[in-house]
Amino acid sequence: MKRSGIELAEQFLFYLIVFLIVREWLVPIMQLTDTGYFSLFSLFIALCLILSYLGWPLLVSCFLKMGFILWALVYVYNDSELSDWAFLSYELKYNFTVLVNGDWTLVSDPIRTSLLFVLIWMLIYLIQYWITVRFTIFYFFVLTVFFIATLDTFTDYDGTTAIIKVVVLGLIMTSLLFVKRLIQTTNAQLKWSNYLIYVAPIVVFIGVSGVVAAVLPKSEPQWADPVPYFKDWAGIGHTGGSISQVGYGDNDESLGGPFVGDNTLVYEVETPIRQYWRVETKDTYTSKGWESTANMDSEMILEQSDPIPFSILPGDKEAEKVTVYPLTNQPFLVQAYGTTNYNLNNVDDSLKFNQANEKMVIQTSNVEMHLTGYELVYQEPSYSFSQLKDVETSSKGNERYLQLPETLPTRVKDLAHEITADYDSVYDKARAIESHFKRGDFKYETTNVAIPSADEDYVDQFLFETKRGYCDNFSTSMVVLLRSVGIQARWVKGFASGERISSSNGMHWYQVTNNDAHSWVEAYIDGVGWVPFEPTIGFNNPVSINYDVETPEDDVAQQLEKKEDVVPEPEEEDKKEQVAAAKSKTIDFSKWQWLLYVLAAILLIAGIVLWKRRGSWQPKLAVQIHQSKLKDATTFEDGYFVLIKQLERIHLKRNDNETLQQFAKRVDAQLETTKMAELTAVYEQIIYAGKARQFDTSKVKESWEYLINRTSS
Amino acid sequence: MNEQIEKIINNIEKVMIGKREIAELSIVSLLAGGHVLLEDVPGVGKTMMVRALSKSLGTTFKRIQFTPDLLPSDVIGVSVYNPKTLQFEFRPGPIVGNIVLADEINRTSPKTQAALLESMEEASVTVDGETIQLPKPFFVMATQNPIEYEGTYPLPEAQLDRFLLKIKMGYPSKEEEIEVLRRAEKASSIDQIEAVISLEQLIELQQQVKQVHVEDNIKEYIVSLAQTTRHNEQVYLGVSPRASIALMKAAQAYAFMKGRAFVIPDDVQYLTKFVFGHRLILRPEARYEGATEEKVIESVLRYVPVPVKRFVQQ
Repeated sequence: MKRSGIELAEQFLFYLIVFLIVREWLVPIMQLTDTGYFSLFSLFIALCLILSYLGWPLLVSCFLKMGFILWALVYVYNDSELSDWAFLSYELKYNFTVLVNGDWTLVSDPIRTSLLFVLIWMLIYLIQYWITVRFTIFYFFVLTVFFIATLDTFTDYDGTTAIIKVVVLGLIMTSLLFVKRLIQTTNAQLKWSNYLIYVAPIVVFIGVSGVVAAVLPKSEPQWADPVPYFKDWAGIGHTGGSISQVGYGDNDESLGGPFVGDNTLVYEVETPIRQYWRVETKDTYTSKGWESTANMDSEMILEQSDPIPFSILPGDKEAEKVTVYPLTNQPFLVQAYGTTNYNLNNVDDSLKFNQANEKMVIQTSNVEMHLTGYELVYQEPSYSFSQLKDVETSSKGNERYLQLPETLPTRVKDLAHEITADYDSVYDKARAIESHFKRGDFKYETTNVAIPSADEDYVDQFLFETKRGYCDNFSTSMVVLLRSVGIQARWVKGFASGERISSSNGMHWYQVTNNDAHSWVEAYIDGVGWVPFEPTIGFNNPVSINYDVETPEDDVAQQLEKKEDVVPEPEEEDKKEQVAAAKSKTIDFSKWQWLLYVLAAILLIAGIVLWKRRGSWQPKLAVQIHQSKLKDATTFEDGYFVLIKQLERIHLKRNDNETLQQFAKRVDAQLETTKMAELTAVYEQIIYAGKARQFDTSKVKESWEYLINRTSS
Repeated sequence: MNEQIEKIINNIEKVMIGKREIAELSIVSLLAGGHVLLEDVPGVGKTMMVRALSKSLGTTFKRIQFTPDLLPSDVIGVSVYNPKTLQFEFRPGPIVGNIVLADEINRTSPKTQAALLESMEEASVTVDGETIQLPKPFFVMATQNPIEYEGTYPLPEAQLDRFLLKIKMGYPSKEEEIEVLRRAEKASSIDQIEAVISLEQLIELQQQVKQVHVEDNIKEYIVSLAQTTRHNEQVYLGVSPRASIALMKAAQAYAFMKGRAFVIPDDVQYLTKFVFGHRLILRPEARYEGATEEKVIESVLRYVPVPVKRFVQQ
């Protein structure tokens, strides 16, 4: 079909708007999954739209898109010495093997990326259908708004500007398409001037009201933020008993029991990357909790310029600065992995460092001092994957980190050996134990968590009996399991990364609350040092591992495994500094869960839409299915009842006590035809006349199709 | 519509105004080999209907006026001594004919009623040990006054069962009645009509009616209707299996009349009230509450689902 100039311009406008809207989908996906190369994906969307706009043959456009995807994969991923084709064929072979073996989780990143490309391709195809055939964008528009609103509510993605853009663009698009539909139905030939008269007021109106709405002052939200609100609501009824409050405390001697959240701000931090905040480590497991061998003897006073003898060595990356703004009185300084030194506000203050538990506090006369903030300098350590994989034995190191209580049940040790039996390297063993918690039927829970009785072991109880708990359960159990197979390990306390509030110039503001108090694991690997592990379900420690291996194996493949955890964390009982305003309980919106919700919502909406619009597709589908049939008695009977079913949808329902002729009469009267009576006469012969008679199939088909199509809305 | 039957009905319509349905139903009964009970007040054209039908068929027409003192022999005939032959000879009564109008049947004594009804059922009469076959076709149209009338002997249920259909004539509408007057003004029109079909042809039609197909799902429908009347709480006595047979036969005849070789549920639904109406006995309390046979049958028809798929034995 030849498109006129006005149509070309109009379509160009449509595609442009679609591009801008689809781009808004990409932003949060990229941000939340930490995917890079935004411009590549944008380019792909543009390519899809341009090809669709140009209306090139399917084959050509497919070829171009495939080409682009392959090029992008090579461009992004192929930093090996392999030639591009070799790289692609290698990827293909590897992933094919993995998929054939059913190890879905092991597919490599290029495949995941190409799937995202394909998804975008499909999406664009669908939108193209919407705007060029159906002339409606409404569902997509609503879906986009819903998508952005959901992400804005449940994740730390900020959709404030996106939602305005989408609403304005979507409304303009909807109204332009409405005009288009009007023109279609009237078959009018429009001139430029007329078209502008139609379109301009709408666009101006939407634009002006959008801008006015955006700049007008707004009152505070009338509803509480739903996530904390629901957490709060769900927390009701759990106030009695020995329920702890979340927060950072010193005493870990008896762990276990439920807790309630506490979203009191502990500190705010400005950091270039998301990371965990270390405070101290503990080494002695008592079968009920943790104690530390640290004492006054292991303390040392350091000047600010002195190098700090942390056991975590700085990496070879560039030094970065983090600024911490404490908001409550804390007796400690937080540490980033690879911290080299601290800059305190008051240059005269010194630092007190305990080598045994690596806890750092300010040595100052001014108690208010630390409230004004401090700066820490760190070089993020990066662990070499090949080095990690190489170490197969643990040297007999410090006994402190292999300590286990004598009362530890043997089944814990047996389990540890069972989990690690198939692995050689220390790192793999540790990963195996770490993922043990993610595979089994362990559950993250804060309310229904047991406290071990006098003759029970905290770890044993969690591993074999309850299988539900929070970070202390997971991390303590992992340390015990590691020690059981002779790997030195220690229990680390600190804070999870907190909630990102804003970002600018490559720096991110995080708010860390008592809910973020967390515990995790460090294992010692000879030649590498202490490596952090995160066994707790729903948490993810952004550790930088350099995958410097030739061939991707096992759970390879990500440069940086990063994800946001907006998850509060438990700690322990009665901590004096804790503020009493206990609020939220934990809800875990970890990496993929939000996507699941969005998908479920999309499916639900799609389902509702399909059901609501069944009038438009069911008849067509029925025609497709039954068209070639209607040849003999059986298929005709089916076809006849399909028709009756469709008629029901347009409020022509046959009553049980109504004969077919009476019904046919009613239908014919309503639809102003005689086809139903004709069809019914044939059907009556089939079911009442004993033997299947010959009938004029073509005529029957024609009547049947006519009637089915009449039911189409 | 079957052509020959169409002719008969058109012929009857020459003298009967606005009574096409009655004519149709009478023919249905005739074709199915059953008898008709016409219930209505005197003077609405019952006799005229029977005569018109009879003339159209070119058959003999007999009329028996039932009175309280009528004897069975007045109906079926009597043996009379013939001095010439020195033997008793049977002198057939008015029952011996093709079409018999039994007028005001509920005015006579049960004994005489029984004589008529027996001969209807057997299609023969027995006098002094001698059995005489009645001519074929044999078709009785009985009329009765509504039972509330004085001096009536209501027909027992078992005997009512022998009528295939019970039809109410009803008064003509105003326009129809004016037309009746207009025709009555001149000479009697009944004399003008002539036979449009021979007796042999009629017997042939009766044979053809038996060939009309009744699919199993229709039989099931008929039985469901009959059984539902037996479980209706307003009904004291539901219809008998004979009624189910009657409904099926009537439906065959009706389908044939409509030019179809098979019965459809519409036929059954239409005929149910005529076939079942006089075979139901309502509970007295239901009657006081205003229930009528027609209402009960309507509710039964509403209740039983129409078969729209092929019959599957359960």
